[in-house]
Amino acid sequence: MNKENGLHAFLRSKATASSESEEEIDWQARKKKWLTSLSELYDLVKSWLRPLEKDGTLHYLSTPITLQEDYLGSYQVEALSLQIGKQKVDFYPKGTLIIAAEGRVDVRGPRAMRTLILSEGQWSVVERSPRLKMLPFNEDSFQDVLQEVME
Amino acid sequence: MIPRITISSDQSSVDDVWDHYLSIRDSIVREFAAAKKSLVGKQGLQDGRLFGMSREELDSYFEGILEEVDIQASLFILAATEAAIRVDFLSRVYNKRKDPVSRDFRHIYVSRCDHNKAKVRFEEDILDTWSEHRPEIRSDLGRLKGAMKYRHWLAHGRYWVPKIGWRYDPGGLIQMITNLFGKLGLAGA
Repeated sequence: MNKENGLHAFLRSKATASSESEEEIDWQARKKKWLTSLSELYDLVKSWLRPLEKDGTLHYLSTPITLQEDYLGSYQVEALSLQIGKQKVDFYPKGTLIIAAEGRVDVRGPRAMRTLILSEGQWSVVERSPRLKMLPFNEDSFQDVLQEVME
Repeated sequence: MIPRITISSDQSSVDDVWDHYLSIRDSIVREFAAAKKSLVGKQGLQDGRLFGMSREELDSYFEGILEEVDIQASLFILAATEAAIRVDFLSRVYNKRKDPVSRDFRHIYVSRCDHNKAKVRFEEDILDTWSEHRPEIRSDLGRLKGAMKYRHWLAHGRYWVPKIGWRYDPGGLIQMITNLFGKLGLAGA
């Protein structure tokens, strides 16, 4: 066997091994689930803030952003911003290919940033100090997040 | 009688440092590959620090670790290089070898003895003596002296912007040192 054939055979064996060892993932289904969960997250936040939106305490702004992820390519999602007085808090989607999770949104305010993680269809707030823990994302933990990220 | 330094058995050779570096680097690359699998949520995550990272953050995190491992290995390679050259120096002095380099080394050693301690300078006393006796390897020794400036910067915590003018990495250092040790007839590179 000449050198070139040896190289080809080696790479073919690796290509076959990779496709056998990796379970097929329906990436379009994963993307759809992620986008649905993102939309549900925004709806949830808006439902908690509805009275404040009605009386003009806050306003929403949606900005299209482009995510680029392995297997999914380039696609657009909405970043949601809350304008509260002179302060802005952004919900910034990071993607669905996230370590040990199904999605992530960073909540960025003028003072800090907190992370929301989608895992098993549920949104949680990530706390890293003193140890890594996940708190369910609900109205109370949302208030904590806002207190931490806003001035 | 001249004072003697007791040679430690804890000394790492350049080869030891290189092997250790390759083991660590390969472990990190394997951990990186395992972490990338966690991006699709199929495999259990071993390292909680990686939880929630995106692909870009993961790449950046591991690039940073690999860069730091390279820097640490470079420091240890250069430290082992100095040790090997110093041990050769002491061996020539203590064994009273008769070649011209060893004779000069013994003279330097005696002149540097103060209060029962020999304060021999690595570059001025050892490397420069080699340069005088072996002009054909002067450029190799010059490269090592340049690398020692990098080591000095690393060993002192990198708190200033260095004027090194050269990018050092473990592979390049090993090549340079293996070449020099071969020319000096030193083992351990």
